[in-house]
Amino acid sequence: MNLELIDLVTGYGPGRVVTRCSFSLMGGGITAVVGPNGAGKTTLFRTILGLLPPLGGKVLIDGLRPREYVRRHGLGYLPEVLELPDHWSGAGLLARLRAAVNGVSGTQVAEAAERSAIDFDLDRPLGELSKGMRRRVGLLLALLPPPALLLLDEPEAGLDPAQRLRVRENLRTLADGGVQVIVATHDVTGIGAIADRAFLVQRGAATAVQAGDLADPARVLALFAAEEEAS
Amino acid sequence: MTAAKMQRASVVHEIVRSWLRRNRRLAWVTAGLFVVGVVAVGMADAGGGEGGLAILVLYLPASLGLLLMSGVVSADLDSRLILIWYTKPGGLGRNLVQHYFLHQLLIGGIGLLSGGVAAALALTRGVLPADQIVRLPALAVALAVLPAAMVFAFSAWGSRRDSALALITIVAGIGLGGAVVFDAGFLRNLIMAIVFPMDALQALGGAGPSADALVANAAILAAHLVAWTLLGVAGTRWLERTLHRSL
Repeated sequence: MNLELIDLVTGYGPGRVVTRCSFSLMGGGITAVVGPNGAGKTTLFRTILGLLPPLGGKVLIDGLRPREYVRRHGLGYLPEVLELPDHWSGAGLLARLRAAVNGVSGTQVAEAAERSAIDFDLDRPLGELSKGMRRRVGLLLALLPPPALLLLDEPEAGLDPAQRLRVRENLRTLADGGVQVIVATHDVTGIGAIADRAFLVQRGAATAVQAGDLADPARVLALFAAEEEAS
Repeated sequence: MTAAKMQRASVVHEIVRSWLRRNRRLAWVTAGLFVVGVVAVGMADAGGGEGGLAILVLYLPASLGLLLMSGVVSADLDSRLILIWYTKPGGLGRNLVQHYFLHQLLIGGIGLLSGGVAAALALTRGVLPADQIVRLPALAVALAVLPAAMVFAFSAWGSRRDSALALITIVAGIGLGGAVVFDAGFLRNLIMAIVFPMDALQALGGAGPSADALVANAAILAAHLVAWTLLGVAGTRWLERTLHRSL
């Protein structure tokens, strides 16, 4: 999988540009996209997904425009806000997904359930599940069929510390297996500890930073301050 | 059964389960209505036959069509589950349209069951002539799936009041059909066929239509179903293109 953002300018119209960036990601790995609230992380994701047309530049995934790539191959996406319907069960949504997408095997479902740390009964109505459990159902749906590109917007929201560690381990396994995992997060030190690359989105620009720096809270604060000063 | 068919059967089962979870009281009311209809047809000698048939062939299928299809697209939009379906191979539209057809399968099945029970009871109690009785299941299916297609169309264009809008359209259509201004003529027939083909439904359920009239009326019903389904499909395409504005 090859993701290219070429002189990308994206946002919700002139005067409301949220993000400008250029970078290229190839093969598997974990890329952290970090930044304060409202910096434009979700807007950047929506542009990569093909939901939001770029205001300038372009996004190519394996040489295709995002919408075309998604239609042909699909990708994994976990939105920051996902209010799964209370009256459905995880098993029901899984059945719906498998009916709509050909060739999702039982083995793939079992693997995705393992990667999403599903350790509860998927037959229970979603309204009876905790926020963390629902988040993991969302991750399960994002992982099917197995994607080459996985975009996760605040994947650890609502997870307890043990589940966070488990999910991080599993993301590492996915990345080592060739999946490009891009994670947008406020929790820079957590994801920073496992990211291979990182981009700081702030004041309308995405800047590459050393992923290792994200593991150190003092260094993160310094990065934010430096970006603030530069802009 | 192939794996794909098994998955679809499983989704229909899940649609029923989720609807029952969300509408437990309404499910009891519906079951009660069914029992009342059966009992009324059973008491045909006491004059309850036609009322019971109206419940089983008209009110029950039509109300289930309106209620079961409600939120078929807009609920996914509200929950943002639509973003998950968007990212799957094949595109959002295909996923939503397949979900609609699985709902229609379920709604048509319930209509057939209700109409079949009505026909069996009517036959044993001698409520209607035999040639009319055999058309009751088809009538019940039509009365279930036509309103459901209208609900889908409103839901696919993003309306959260899809069932209410479909009901208003049906009532308005019937009202328009009866209005003097449209009395007879091509315009009236066209409006009735597009908005809600009450004439064709009455002809299908009524006594003694010719074979030609039956075919013509069945064609009007099919055209109505196809037209509203296509309107809904167009809505899903529009939704896919403008999804970022809807979130």
